[in-house]
Amino acid sequence: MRRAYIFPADTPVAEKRRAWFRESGVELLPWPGTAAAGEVQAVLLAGPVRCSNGQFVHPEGVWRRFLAKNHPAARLIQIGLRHDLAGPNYMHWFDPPADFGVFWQAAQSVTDMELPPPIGFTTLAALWKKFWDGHDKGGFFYYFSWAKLPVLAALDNVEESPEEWLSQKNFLESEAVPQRFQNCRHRWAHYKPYWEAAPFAGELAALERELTQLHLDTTTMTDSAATRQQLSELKKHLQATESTLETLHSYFTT
Amino acid sequence: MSTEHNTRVMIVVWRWIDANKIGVSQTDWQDGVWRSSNGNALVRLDLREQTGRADFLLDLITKNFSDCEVALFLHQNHPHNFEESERIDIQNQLNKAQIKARPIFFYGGDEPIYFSHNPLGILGINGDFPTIKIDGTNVIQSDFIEDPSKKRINQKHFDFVWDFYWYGRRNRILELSETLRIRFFDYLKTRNPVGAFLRQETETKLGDKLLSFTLTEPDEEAPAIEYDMRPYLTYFKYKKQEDYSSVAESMSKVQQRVKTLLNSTAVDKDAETEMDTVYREITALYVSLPEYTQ
Repeated sequence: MRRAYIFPADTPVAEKRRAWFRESGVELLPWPGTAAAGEVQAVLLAGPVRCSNGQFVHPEGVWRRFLAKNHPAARLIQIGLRHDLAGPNYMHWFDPPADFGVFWQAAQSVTDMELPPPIGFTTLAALWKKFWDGHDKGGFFYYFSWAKLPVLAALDNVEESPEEWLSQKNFLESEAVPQRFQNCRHRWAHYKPYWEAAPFAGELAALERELTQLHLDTTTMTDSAATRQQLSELKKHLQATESTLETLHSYFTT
Repeated sequence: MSTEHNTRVMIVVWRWIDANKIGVSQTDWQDGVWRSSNGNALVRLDLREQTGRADFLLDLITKNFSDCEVALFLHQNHPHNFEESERIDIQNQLNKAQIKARPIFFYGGDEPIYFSHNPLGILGINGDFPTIKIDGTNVIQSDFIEDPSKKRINQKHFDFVWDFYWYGRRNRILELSETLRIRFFDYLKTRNPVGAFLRQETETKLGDKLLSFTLTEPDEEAPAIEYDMRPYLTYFKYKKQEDYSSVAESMSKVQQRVKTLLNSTAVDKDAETEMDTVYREITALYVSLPEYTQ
């Protein structure tokens, strides 16, 4: 029995329809997340996806990049009610093919397929770009970079000259580092509902946990040791955040 | 377009570079008022995140603009970070006060309110009014500001931005079609008569939205105001010189189709056929509508 995942995972599927898939030798399962998915053979994507903020988004491009990198032989099959999108990788939900097994065979692999242009709603990649770049120096990347660099510089300086902890504390305050971290979290909170449409919700949740640790409290920097300890901890979280961001960022950009 | 309407006021809460960063107890907001030739007003506020700002805005509108039509533009990004709960709260309070006002989100720099994406936009890049932009080898000069000393703004820009955001319903239609699609997916599990099946959905208040969509008579109350297409049809009427009659006809046809679906007792394959038809027609309607009426 082959296995096909359906996304969003809570897409309602009648038992009769599940039985129809089984007759074609395919078990239809809700998308379980990247960690539990194992080898992905096919994903049925019902887009555009409605996120918890009520907004719709087209995530197909991000799914294709994710699958192409991690499961290049997989089929990405869009499902819906559009008649004008008929093609080897689109299945009309009320007018399914006679035999899904034959349809599966004819579907192109994720590395070969072409996605139809998204209609109406914005894409997940476009939203990531807004989150990342913003406008008028208001992007996550700007705030993250300009918070990270002073922290790393201050830590280097405190490690080299512990007696200068106070000037480093003043430097971090003058650079508005706490506010920059806060701006990072604000931007994340604003865009967070959209990431529900991505395949890697677990990884994004882990990233969010790291982001909550990006917090600089200069009032507790009362001596050299306390300053060094807080900055060292922060450096670890910054590195973990950066590492996860690098991986995820690649799925949102061409 | 007809000029017989109440005074129109656009309140834009944004990071204005030279507007006062006001507190919720301040009264000097008048400094940020600019007017167009027919007396419409643009009020510039920079109201950062703080407790009581929704009350401040409501107070401002009810005390000064209660007999006007008010488009309240709320910047969703840093440093204002307006949230949906605030917008809904403000909308509900304004409805209660029977003020014709609509809180509208904007963000991201690429909406028509921004000059960078629309020659008739009213916002520049860095918290200022639009000035110039480079489009390839062309330098485009904005004529939004007519007389800085008198705080006079261009009526043409005002009208475009107003029409676009005030009457815009196109995206609501698309949202409605996709909300229907998601509901339709559920149909095979229930196999109830399709009209009742749609009206019973409570999570997204689909029944209210569909009912609002079908309204055509002026005195009928819309339970989901954003899906009420009557302002859109009025807009088409104003725009008759551009011949939107065929679009208005399509709209009326789809409204009737949705009304029929809401009362349909069809089940199983017949219900699927009806749902399929409505989805196809409503998405086709979306495509046919002018893009700028988002």
